[in-house]
Amino acid sequence: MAKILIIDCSTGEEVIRDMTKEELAARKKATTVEAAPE
Amino acid sequence: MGISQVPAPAIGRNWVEIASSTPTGVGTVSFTSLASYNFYRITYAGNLTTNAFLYMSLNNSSTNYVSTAIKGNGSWNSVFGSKTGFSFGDTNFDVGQSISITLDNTSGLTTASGTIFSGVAMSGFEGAWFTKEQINRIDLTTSTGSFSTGTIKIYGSM
Repeated sequence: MAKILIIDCSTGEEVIRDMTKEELAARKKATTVEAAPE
Repeated sequence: MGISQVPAPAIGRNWVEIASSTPTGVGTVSFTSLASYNFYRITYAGNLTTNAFLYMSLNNSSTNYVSTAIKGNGSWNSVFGSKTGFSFGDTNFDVGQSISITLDNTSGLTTASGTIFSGVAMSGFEGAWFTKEQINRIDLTTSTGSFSTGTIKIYGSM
């Protein structure tokens, strides 16, 4: 399972956890390379 | 330029380091609860796992982006309306690169410009974010695999 590191920059707190299904879907969408327009 | 040489913040601004992280084995690094600044700078020097792309998104948004990026092979990766972040890594990011990105959040149209320093054929990227929201979160995510080595730093400037 892919991990996500979340850093709260106001407190410095760091948490590592498994990515949720929603986060995995967002990651897939965000990193899908699509064809350039003509 | 070797990967140990993280680009220094631009001269002429009083950059404040907001956060620093040296992630290993995670696919996404999320910097949340960012203080409000007019400009942000993100630097990263390191390696991703093999064949990973590196992308950035702002405020966890999935709708507000237009991004364009020059891929390592020189072709354009330009997607309007459906892409959720800026891309600045091609499949060769795993060989070790360093990047320096500046976000201008002053005009209601957040724009990104940056430089990628490396020995591979990566010439740069550009993008824009159509929203007037203040930036409060920056996510760096790999398309596959994870961060392997290197340090990410976030700076802010008024």
